[in-house]
Amino acid sequence: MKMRTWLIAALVTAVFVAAACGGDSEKSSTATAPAKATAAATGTAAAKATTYPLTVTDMLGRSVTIAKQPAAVAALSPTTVEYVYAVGGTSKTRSASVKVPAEATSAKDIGPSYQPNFELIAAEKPDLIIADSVLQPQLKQNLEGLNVPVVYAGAQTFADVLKGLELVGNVLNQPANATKQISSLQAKLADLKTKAAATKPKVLAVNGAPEDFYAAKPESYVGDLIQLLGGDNVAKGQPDVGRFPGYTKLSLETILTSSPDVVLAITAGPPGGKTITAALSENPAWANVPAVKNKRVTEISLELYLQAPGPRAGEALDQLAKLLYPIGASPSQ
Amino acid sequence: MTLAAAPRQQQARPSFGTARLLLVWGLPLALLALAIVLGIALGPVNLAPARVIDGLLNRGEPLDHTIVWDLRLPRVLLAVLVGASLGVSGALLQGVTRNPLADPHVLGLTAGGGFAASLALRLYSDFPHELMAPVAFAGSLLGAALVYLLSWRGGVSPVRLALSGVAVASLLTACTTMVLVTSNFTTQAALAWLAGGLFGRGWVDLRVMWPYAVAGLGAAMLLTRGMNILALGDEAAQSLGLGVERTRLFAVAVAALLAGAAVSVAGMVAFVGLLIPHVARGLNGDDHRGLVPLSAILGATLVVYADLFARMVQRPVEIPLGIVTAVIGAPFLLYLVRSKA
Repeated sequence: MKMRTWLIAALVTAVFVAAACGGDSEKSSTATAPAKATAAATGTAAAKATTYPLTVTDMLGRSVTIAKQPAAVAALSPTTVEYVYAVGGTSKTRSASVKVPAEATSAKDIGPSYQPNFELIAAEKPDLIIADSVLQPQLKQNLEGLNVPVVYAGAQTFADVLKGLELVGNVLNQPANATKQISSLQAKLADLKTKAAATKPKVLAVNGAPEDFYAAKPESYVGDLIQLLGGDNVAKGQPDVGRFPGYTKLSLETILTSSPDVVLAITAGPPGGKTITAALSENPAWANVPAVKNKRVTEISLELYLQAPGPRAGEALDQLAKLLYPIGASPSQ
Repeated sequence: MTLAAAPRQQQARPSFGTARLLLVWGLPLALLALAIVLGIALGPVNLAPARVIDGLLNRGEPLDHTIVWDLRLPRVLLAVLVGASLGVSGALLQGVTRNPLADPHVLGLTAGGGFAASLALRLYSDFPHELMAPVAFAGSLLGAALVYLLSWRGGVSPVRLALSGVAVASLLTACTTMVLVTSNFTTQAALAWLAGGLFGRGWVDLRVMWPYAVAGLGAAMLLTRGMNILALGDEAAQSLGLGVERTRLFAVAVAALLAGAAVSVAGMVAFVGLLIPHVARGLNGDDHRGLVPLSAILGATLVVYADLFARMVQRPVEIPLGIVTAVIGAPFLLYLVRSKA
């Protein structure tokens, strides 16, 4: 009898210890991601004119050989499709949510980027697949099974966007276009930095639904852009919580005591539904938060800051800078 | 095993007329064969029948071979094994617990497998495919062991087994949800796992999973005589010389093996283990010698059709297989319940 009680206790403990270990591993797994990205950067640096067969290191750190210049490219996510068109290529495929650029909407819809349809990808007979290193690493085996070279590119930060453009430009033999895009993005950032005010606004950027939203840390894409523009992120240093890497969950109390000057919200939900911005502005608990008092609570683009990070980073930085600082003719709303 | 089923067990078996044989075995087998053919012939890419056959035989375009041989065929075969495993697992558990509501999910087996698998994915985002089945199987066994230990009091009574199963299932499902909610999977990927499905599964998964499924199905066939005797009640079974506890333990272990095999490739597929044994019993009666293989055939049939539906109905978007089986399963189960009353 006693023996059995101990056994049960041991099994239950094992379950909880295992679950707790899950919590610890979170940090280590996010910590390795930037390391991989850095490796990719050095691997693809300084490619001038492309010669085939070409061997590149992609943004998952994989070494990929491409036999000849790709004639049929299949890009599988909003970010990768935008990379391809940004360097002057075209994609035979697109994921369901792709709206930009307009030419890309005529490409074959292969379903959502987290579950693209492999049959439809194969049917386009691509000679190069460009998959998303942020959204699709788990599809590696499936894609490699299609017997077409697979290059992974993605964007979790502004630096990733530059790397992704360089990589995609290189594999598509469009290095000049890529360089042009990269220097224009770099110039844009440098220009906005000079216009930024000396006092750094405290910024809270959230994503989700009015009842359940997550705060973007500097490790997220929108958090990275805020950081680059000198914004002081109130979610900095918090542990990752929720399903998006680089996001955390702040208690209402934490948010109120951190008194953000600017609140940026990405409401992911049915169009026409209530936005986070509207919910916050109505909630009396928020009335004394500087951002609410000064009407600096703004809804920002789901597409630009969450769904399709990538070559449109310049546009994203422009809009952000106007919300953080009194720049140009249209000061913060 | 319906609630009042036990004493009816070893009555003289009805005479096997040809018509009956055709209905009980021929119809399900024909439906399964049709399901397999449709599963291979249909997909988001429209292929003419000739191209499907060329693709299977690898004598046409390489593209057809990729689509038919590498993408569709392994998925159909996996659906067969997942369905058969869940159906038989449910039949064994309903027999052991003498409870018509028992199934691998209710009793904590898929919950244990799902917990182990999600934990493995959480700890190592690059977790190798080929270790998934052993891990899910270990989780299912852990779930089964917990259930078994919790219900042991100088022996396992069917009622205690069912009750502690429900408790352990809720606990492990809560743990799985916690792992998924706090992990870095994107929302949709986590939800897809919980809802079950065969998205992206291929030869690699089949190669890993089939030995577990086939071993489990074979072991279940060996158990059928013991299960029939066990159905007479513990005392009667004991007086007939059956090792009651040993048979029960063995049956639960085999059910866990099958549930683990199914979970490892398909996640949580609802209702198959609960529903299929009832349908099989309706066709065949309570004799496990027929009930177990029939549950395998019917389970396979249901999951192949459900997976076909899941990938075709809203193409190119796939809807989760577990939702399809639940939508088919729930009303059918209600119908069975009402028609028996």
